[in-house]
Amino acid sequence: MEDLNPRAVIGSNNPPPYDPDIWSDCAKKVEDFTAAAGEWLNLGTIETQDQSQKATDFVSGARKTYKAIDEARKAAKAPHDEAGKAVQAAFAPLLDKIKLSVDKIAAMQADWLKRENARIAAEKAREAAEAEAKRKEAERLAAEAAARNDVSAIVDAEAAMKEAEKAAKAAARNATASAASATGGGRTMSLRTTYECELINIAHAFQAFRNHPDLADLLVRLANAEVRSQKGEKVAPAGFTLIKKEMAA
Amino acid sequence: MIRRPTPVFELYRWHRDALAGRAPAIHDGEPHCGWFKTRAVKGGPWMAARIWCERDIDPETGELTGPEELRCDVDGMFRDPARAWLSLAHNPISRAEYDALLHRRNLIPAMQEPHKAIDLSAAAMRP
Repeated sequence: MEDLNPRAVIGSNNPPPYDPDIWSDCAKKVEDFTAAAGEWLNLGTIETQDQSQKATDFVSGARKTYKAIDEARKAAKAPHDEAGKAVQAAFAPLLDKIKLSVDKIAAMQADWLKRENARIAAEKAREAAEAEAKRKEAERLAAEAAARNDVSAIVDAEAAMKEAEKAAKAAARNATASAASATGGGRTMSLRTTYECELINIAHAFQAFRNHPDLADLLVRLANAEVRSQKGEKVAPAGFTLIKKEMAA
Repeated sequence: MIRRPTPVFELYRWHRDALAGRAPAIHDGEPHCGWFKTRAVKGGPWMAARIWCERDIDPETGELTGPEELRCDVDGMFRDPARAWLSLAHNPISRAEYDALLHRRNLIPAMQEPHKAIDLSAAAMRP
């Protein structure tokens, strides 16, 4: 009877993206060290110099194993990183070109829309002025018709007043320029307003954000870096207190 | 001429001072009695070493019958103490640690190959 290939099973043509033998060796080492760690923990506390020295060797060995496994990880990942880089290198220039094309033409569009908005605003102002003039004229005619008891003229004046009010409402309606799609397939473009801040007073800025957790995190990070760089006696920066922590290394 | 043996207290003065952190002087070719540890290669296992004084003492008179001579043993091999001194002087250890090192050497196979660097990742050190 033929010896069966152990990999001749459904799904075996989908191997993991790393060498399973190398992974297995690493896993065996980890098993050894974790089992030993359990034995160490079973001790409870280190009581003798002999135990302490052996613990040093355990930690050194474990750290060396960590480094070796990390190197294996990096080596396994390297071809995938290279492939990822190759994909990026192939596609990124295309994306950059398209993005630049969009940005350039969008800038032209923004310039057009700004000019259109200015034109619309001017037209609205003109319409508002015309509507106001019509309203005043209608008021004058209504007053004259009322004075003459000219019923026909009164009705005409009221109609003219209504027209003037309609025109005034239309002039007051907010209108902004937009660039519709030529074919119907494109999304309408319009001016979008965004805002950015420029720091002008750092003290006031701190006050404004003093309750923000990100600010506290940043300050702690800066303070820790400051204390790490101090030679000799450590001094906490203003606003901080020093906490001493000790660990075996 | 009456030759009194050097007192043991004196023989091991240097070693006592070294263990106490008094940093006694180390001079090439001028060994002192004591227990030490050393390595044959970088990253290699510790080897227990000792330097002691051999002398013949007349039991009746308590006097030396011959010269006092320093002897040296590194990992069970006799060495010239003057030549071995510089490799030992920087790692003095207590007698207890010397004995523990000898004991450990028998328990841990990697320590029996002094010319091979120890790979602590090959097998986890257990308590």
